[in-house]
Amino acid sequence: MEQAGAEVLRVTDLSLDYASPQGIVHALNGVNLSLKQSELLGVVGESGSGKSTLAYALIRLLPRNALVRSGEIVFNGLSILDAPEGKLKDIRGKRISMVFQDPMTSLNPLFKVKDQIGRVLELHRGVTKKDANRMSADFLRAVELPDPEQVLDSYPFQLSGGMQQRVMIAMALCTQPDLIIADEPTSAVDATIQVQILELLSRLRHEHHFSMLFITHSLEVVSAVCDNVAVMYAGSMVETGSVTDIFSSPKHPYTQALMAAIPRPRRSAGEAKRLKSISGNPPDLLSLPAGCKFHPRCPHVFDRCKAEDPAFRRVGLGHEVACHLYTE
Amino acid sequence: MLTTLVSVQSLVKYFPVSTLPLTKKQYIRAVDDVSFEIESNSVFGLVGESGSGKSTLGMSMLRIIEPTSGKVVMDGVDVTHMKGKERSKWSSQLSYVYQNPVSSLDPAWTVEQSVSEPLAAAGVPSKERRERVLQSLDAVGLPQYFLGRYPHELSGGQSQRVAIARALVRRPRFMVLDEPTSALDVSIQAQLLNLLMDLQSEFGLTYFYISHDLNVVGRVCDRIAVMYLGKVVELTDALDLFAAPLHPYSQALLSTTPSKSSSYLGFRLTGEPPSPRNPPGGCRFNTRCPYATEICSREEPKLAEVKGTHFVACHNLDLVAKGKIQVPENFRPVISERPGPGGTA
Repeated sequence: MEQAGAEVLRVTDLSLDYASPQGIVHALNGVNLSLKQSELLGVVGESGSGKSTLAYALIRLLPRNALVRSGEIVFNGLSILDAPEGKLKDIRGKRISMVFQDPMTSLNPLFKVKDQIGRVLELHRGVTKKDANRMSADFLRAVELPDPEQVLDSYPFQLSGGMQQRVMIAMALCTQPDLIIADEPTSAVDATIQVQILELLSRLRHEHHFSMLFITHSLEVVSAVCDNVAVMYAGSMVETGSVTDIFSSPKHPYTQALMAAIPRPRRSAGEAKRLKSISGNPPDLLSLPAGCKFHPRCPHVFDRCKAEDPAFRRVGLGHEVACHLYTE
Repeated sequence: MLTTLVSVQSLVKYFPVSTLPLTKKQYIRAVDDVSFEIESNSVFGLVGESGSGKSTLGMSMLRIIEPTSGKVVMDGVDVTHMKGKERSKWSSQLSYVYQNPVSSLDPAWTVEQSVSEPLAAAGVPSKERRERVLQSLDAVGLPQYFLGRYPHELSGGQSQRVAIARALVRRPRFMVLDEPTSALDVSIQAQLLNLLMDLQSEFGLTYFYISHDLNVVGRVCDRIAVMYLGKVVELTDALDLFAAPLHPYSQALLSTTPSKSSSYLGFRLTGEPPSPRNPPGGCRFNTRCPYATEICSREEPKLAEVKGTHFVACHNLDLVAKGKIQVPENFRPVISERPGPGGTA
């Protein structure tokens, strides 16, 4: 949208399977995405759509039963999938940091905040303990935590959920990364706190020049902060575009159905309480349907959808959709 | 003519907090003097942030936890002190659906066992139970072969359907739904909300719907109470609340949704709610309110009728209506107007 910076991350045709006792789980199926400097890209999808797997694949932090079938991940010119493990250590947590969903389980309950942020600074930026303390306070101030000195001296359980999440963001920020991957960073906190954190993140990326991949199941959250959106369904991208494009004229039937399923307050007593819901359930990743993955639930399905997987097609500036309705 | 099914009068629930001996006893004032009425066949919504006392209020109304003081009246009868047979007769008309279906179903029980347990407890002969369980499962759209399944074999949406079937099996009249869809994906949430609306009209149910999600509440509820730190600060018809909220806290809450109405000055709350163990004196919202004046920290505002059926607890409604900010550090305007999902035009 507004960014014209250099490309930080490119994912091409990424497919990934998990081996399981029940068979092969096709978690990612030909994912493409591109992220520019200072861009905030939202990846939305429902449970099981592969959004978290994508996040972990980006830093090659995958369980042993994961197998990359095809594709390429290029971060600042380096191929993540081919890089030696030693090289990745410089990237993980340093050039790419992560903010996870539940701050309570990602902060160590036995250490004070200052020891946890300090350790990151010592490890990744090679500063002395004394400097680390001062810098930690600065980063806590950057994430708008009141009274940073007291927070530094606290254990995680002494902080509220919102404060813990801010500490996590400060930790992600303090290595001055090029990319922050945030996996549902606000789904554990209340709406009012959520808005505060989202607006903070959006502001910080301009001041600190990082790009951000924002993984969430909530279209509402995406609409609040992101520049661009990628919608995932059953391990595939089905539509990408700017927030304005996706929300004002969604093209893929799944995106359209998802929008219609979001409850909105009624405006008049005559308006129905019922919502337009998508019938059926997302497909079993063990045995995906042939052709377009959405075709069994799609209201516009025709023969071609059952046979052929649709390719991405441009429908507007920076707006792409994988659906046979838009070919020719 | 609409009839009142449940009337809650000055309900209070304090939880004692363990303190050192010989020191003053401390309480968490989870629900503090709350009153409202719920009409038959309606959906009454309760919104508020975590820790505002929503679930405590829901559970106190059904006496799942005993209220500290105040009254709950159902069908004109005070049920607060009912005992024995009378109480079980009353409670057979009620049920509670919890937020997390995975933890509210016993993992070692089959669907049939979970759904039929309330019947067994009510002394329904075992021959009849199977039939009633099947009717209940059918009502929530689950086929017969689910009877023998265990919770781990169910998806989130299916577990919640089982929990609803269990709540329905004794054919209640009044149900408390405590965030029944907050753990579910958008598309599954829509299916479940539709199911709940269908069940309501089919069985003539009355719902008490607890949620922190304003969009859901605004969609399905007829009347809404907004709760902050154990107090109801605003109580009105759902359409009214979304068109023109009057309490500053409601205005701040509604500013977080993309489809904000233009009838008021939207703003963002700063900081976090104070602890209910030691809530601010006077109006509990005064420490975060941009319209607070001296009286707000001194005197507690009463929930008073503003017009028709719209009740608000605020001293400075004039200032709020004119958008005259008193405490600028508490006022953070909503900066960007962005397109929301579903289109707001």
